[in-house]
Amino acid sequence: MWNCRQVEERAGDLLDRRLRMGERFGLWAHLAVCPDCRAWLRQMRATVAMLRALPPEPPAPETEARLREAFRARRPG
Amino acid sequence: MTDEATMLARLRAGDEAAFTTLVRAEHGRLVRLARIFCRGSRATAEEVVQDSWLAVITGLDRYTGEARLGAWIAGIVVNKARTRAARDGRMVPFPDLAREELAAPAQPGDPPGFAEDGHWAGRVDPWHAATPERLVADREVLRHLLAAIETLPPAQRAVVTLRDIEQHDGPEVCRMLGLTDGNMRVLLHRGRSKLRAALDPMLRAPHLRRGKTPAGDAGAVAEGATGS
Repeated sequence: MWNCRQVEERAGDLLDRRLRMGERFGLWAHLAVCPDCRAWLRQMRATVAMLRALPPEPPAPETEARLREAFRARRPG
Repeated sequence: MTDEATMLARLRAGDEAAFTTLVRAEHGRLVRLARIFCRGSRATAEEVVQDSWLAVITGLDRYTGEARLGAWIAGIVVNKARTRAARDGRMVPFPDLAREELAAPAQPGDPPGFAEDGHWAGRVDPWHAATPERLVADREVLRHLLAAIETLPPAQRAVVTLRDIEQHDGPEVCRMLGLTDGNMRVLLHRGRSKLRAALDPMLRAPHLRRGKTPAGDAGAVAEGATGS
């Protein structure tokens, strides 16, 4: 069965779905008995999810105005 | 028609509202992307991105739709940022930086680290149960996360930004930075681990009692992927 260090080492492959079936069984067996690794893996997933969910940062109003003007200039007619 | 096809059609028809929506949604992300190649300078990255928007406007009719619209625009930004960095003699040598960062001793697990027997050296306390979207909507959490991203070593910051924030696929990120797939994945893992460790003190929820999670939940944790 895996230990916590192995879970940490393979976390990247786990999160990116690169673990082979045999490896996944070793991992599940460990997770079933290790609340620390369950919590840690959740946190890694949450970290990635937060990065994906960063709010948009619109441009400064004057920048936006300039870009809109350039867009209008392109418009046919 | 997909959202993207609709957006493209509206842009080509000269729909200014559609253009404004696109700029507001993408501008910040593109500046973050450009900064990777501009040694962190926000001012240079802003110029590069504004220049790129102008190239998008003039290139709309030539865009073939082979790449996704977002990927096409990101490609323009990367090209312009690289050209600008080369002109300024400030190219970032990512393969060299990656080698340096990977040669530095890994800090497996970050805090809490590991005991001799391979178990965590301390407890891993669960985090606040709010969704990721709710968490980053909190100004303090957002500020903390953005600051933590800034403190990552440059190659790790670049990989995390491109893979997780910009959501480019692995081969695309390797191509942009000139990295091997293996190196890219180790950098990504180290970067994510550091960010998790940075968020940990803020997001811990000590009031959550341990052991409440059913063991059958383990499979769901293992299966739940973040996509690729």
